[in-house]
Amino acid sequence: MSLEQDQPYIERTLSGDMKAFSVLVDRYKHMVFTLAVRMVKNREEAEEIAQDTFLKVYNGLAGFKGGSKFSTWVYKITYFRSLDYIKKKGRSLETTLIEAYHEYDHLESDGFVAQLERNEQHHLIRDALKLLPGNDGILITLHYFEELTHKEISVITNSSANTVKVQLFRARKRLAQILAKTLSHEMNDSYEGK
Amino acid sequence: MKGNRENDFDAFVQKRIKAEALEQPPKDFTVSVVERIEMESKASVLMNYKPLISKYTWLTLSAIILGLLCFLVFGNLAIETAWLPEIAIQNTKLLNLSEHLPKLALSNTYVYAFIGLAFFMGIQVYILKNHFRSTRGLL
Repeated sequence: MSLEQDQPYIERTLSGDMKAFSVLVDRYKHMVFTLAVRMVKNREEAEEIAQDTFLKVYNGLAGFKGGSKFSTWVYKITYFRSLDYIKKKGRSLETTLIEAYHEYDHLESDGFVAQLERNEQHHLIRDALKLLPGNDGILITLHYFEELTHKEISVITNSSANTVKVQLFRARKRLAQILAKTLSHEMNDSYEGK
Repeated sequence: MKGNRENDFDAFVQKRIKAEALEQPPKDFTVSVVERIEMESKASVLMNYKPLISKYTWLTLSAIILGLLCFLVFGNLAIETAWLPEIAIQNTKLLNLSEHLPKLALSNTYVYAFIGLAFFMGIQVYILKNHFRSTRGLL
């Protein structure tokens, strides 16, 4: 969604029109909620974070100068609210050793994607994303669903575009690993069923 | 070849992630957000600190007092006090007010200590006021 499409609603909200803000909430609630779920892996906590995010967006709307897209600004608030929440709860962002995922590169094996294509599991990617550690889920969602560039994601996570590129590369490998495990489990189940 | 496989994987993930759509927030999510904002803005109106004497009044009072002091120090009082009846001036002379006032012998240490105490009391009031304002704002 471009800034031009959001700007009229931002201006109306600033003049006290709550209906205009409701439009903005409806427009971004799915992505905000999804990003929060990817970070905290819990729907109730994600709802709290998403509400806090919109509250912060509303209170800080006058300070939004349009230096970036409105969506980028909202996602950045979501990302940092999630990090704050994790910190407040005394947890740490779950990380996984890269080596653990380097046993076998599934992306190099023949027929891997074709196998995935044949899989008809309804929430194949969504379930796999839940198993991704740290902010991998957010990176994958922003890159593949929202189609943001490395640079745009780097604005949200407050890091460099190169860091995002490396993180995305690793996240993609981890995703492939999880998907491969899902496939092998399903194959085992089907053999046992026979 | 490897690049092709990676591109295929990218295309697959993109296609499936869009098909599977995003997580669905609760149905009343937007209403909850709007209600929360309205509730918090009402609370902030109620909790908003309004001083009994506004800054404008303080500034006006300060300007008046400063003006009077300047007038007393630098003004030409000889002309201004000429309208006072002479008899009244004579009466005040007769009273000898300064003689009736108790004479307090204050040491320099006492005076400095008193000024210091008053100064720090003033700072403390300001700090405490800001402290309570900020902690109340967090509630």
